[in-house]
Amino acid sequence: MDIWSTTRGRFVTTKFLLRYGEDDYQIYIYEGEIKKIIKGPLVTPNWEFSFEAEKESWDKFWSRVTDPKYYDLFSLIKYGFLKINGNNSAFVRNIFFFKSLMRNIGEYLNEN
Amino acid sequence: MKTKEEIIGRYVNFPIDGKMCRVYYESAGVGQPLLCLHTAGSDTRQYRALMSNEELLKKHQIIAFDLPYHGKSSPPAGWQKNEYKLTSDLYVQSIMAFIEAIGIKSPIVMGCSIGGRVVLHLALYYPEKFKAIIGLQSGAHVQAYYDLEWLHRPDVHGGEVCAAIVSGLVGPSATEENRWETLWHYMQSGPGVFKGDLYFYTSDGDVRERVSQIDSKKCPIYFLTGEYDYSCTPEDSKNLTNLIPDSDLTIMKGMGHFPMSEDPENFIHYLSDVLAKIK
Repeated sequence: MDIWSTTRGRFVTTKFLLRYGEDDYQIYIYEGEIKKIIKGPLVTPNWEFSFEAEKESWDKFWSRVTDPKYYDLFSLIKYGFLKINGNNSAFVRNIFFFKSLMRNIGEYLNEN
Repeated sequence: MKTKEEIIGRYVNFPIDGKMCRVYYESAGVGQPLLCLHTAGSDTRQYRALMSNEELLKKHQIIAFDLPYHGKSSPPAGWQKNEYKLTSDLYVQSIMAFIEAIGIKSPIVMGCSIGGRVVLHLALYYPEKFKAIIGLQSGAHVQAYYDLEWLHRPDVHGGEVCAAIVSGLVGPSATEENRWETLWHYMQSGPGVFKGDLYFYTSDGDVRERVSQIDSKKCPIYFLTGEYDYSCTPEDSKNLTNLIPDSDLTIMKGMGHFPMSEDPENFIHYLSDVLAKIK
């Protein structure tokens, strides 16, 4: 996340689920910064909304392989690879922020 | 360093659908008129690189206008009483009335996205009025793939959400400067305008049932589509060429939904090839 993305997301305080194939991650955002990531299995999951896609789809999205279908969160949505469930208000109000966050979070998951 | 661009901006007042409209337009160059139509929720600034290209301007008068509600064109009086919705009839009327208002004869018409759709309507109903038709990001129909209500609601910043949604439609060949200028146009759109344009794009402008009636012998038709456009995809444009005999499609490498503003340098090469075919 660059500084501008964090600034842009300064009004974002939420928790969401990232479903990476079989693996779940609960991600806590406080004023635009990642405060905590809990890897599942989650015993009592508690999130406002979720990004859910197969591992292969996320890997293509994060690898920056130049496949147009995996180029952006909305191309994933268009082609049915990504589902956003739950109360998505925080996402809709802050799409630039979440696009930047989701673009960069793959590196973190691969390292942990 | 100082540079001066040759683009001239003017206003023209004329009725559209019985309502007087004050319409802003820009032009540059001399020769064969090339009328350019902007995308949904944006304006003529998308074409400024074309209007500053010396080679294009030697043989073409490039003209672009802001649809009412867009850019520097005002909405008609009383706009506040109704939700803005662009229909096929209104869009076609707007273009034909503009052509008459400024008195251009037999232009090449080139439109992108909603403009790439409406040129199919023009090909169906007014082929004799145009020297040729160029569709950028053209498809007969696009199904909405997110909730369009997101685009105009009081708890979401319209400029931010519209630009953020379309940001992924800018292809990887764009420079950062061109990418963000393209998005800036979206950030400046009036409330509900992008959503109103998408009524045409995702619903009323559907020409799937009629596209096979387009006769490219009456008016040559060319398509240029960005490889990375997931809104109007290369497959959507290929379907058009399957249905319109003798139509011509080129897929533009590395480009997305806004070729003329996201990567003008490469786009002008593709466009020049098409213009060279138009006799």
